[in-house]
Amino acid sequence: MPERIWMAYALRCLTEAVVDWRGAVQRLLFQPLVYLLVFGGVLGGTKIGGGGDYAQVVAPGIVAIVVMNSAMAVVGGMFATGYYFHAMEAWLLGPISLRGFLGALVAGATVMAMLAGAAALILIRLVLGLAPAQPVLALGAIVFGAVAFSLLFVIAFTLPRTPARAQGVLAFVMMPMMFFGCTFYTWDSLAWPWNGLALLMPTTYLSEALRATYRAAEGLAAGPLLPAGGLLILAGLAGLADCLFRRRFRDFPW
Amino acid sequence: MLKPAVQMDGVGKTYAGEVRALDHVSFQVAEGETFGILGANGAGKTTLIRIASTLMRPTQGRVVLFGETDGTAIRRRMGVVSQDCTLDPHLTVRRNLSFHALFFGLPGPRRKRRIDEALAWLGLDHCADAAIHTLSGGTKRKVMIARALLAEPALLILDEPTTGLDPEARAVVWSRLRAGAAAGTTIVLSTHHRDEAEALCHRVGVIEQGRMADGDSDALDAWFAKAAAHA
Repeated sequence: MPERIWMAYALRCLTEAVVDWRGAVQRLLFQPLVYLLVFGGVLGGTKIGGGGDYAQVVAPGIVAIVVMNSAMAVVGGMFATGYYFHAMEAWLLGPISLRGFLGALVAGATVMAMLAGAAALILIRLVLGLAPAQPVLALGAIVFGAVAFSLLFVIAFTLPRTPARAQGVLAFVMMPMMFFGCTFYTWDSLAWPWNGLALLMPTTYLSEALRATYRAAEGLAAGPLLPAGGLLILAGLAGLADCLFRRRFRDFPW
Repeated sequence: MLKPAVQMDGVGKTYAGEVRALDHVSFQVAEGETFGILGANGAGKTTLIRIASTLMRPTQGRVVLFGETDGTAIRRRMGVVSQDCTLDPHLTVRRNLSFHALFFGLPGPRRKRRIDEALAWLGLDHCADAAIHTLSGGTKRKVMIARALLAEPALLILDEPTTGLDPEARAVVWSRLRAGAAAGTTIVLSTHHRDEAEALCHRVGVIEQGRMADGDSDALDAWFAKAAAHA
């Protein structure tokens, strides 16, 4: 039963993307294209230490940003619809536990964020001519990122009493994720304490895992830190999202 | 009395530890019975409906539906029409119903049949593929009722179901609810309208300042006389 409801949510998100195709095109194509043209096309030729191009470093980071933004748009859209259009009330009346419902929301957002990440990989190939040496691992990293960011934005939207107050939390979450999360540089290039801070950001794990698949830098992927830290981050986000979601919705507040 | 479908024992609800919305409300609704909750705005009807539909937890007392207290199991047998429009604005009428039917696990062919039936019952065939934001308030209300009926619930909970409907649409909804009641569905509905309560309900409770009183004929007369005086 929960699987069917999870599927229903994924279908709902896909349907919404088809209905609002302009927004979907903007998220899936236009946004990554702008990032790729600026950081990959304009600045990408800059040589970095070790002889590679900056494009190889920044392209995986751009995928991480795209996956993050897509998860934010989908989760934010669901909470906005749920709050401003009262749809959350109807969703909570479904025959599923709060934990199962959280899983359904995350499943819907994960599917869309995965599609955004996969589209970004294709755009990187088309615009910069770069392809991951291990495409399956690259997709695995995108799945990790999609789940992690979906959970993160569920936390951001359930932490405040209403989604109307989520702006502050979102700014607090997204800015460090973009700029301390190894999207525009490698983890190796950071000194203490910044490399320690970067380990708290899901973007770091996604960017570094993708960099390894593009053979841009081994960095974090060279040791056990990447899988161990990634799993720890995922478990922490899942636990916190579960706790906050149930606290917020076991007694309907809106 | 038949087996109770809804059982509320000493239910109370206090918001933010200060505002007491419900105070020791107790009543039972037997399986197949239609029970009306009458009350003015702010009397506590919506809070009571939300507690009955498992959306809210009472701060005191106990709610048992079909002998169960587990929300997930209860919701499987329940259809709810809330006071506000709770339709998904990004989906069409048909897709709203389809999403809900998927939620309740209706298999493909049955899902389609039930959706077509629900649309036909409430005269919604013409707007099946319309976007929700293009519908009038009354039509949205009918879509919500169609959605609540989709999974053939054993318990139907409706918060002011005919608010915003014209007399013709109201008559259609009444006839659907009567048909549901005749088929054995237990119905709990809140309303402002005496004619609605009298037309649909086997029993009525009057709620005032969070307290529930039996709605016998004298109590109803007194309540409506008071409401008319306030108006």
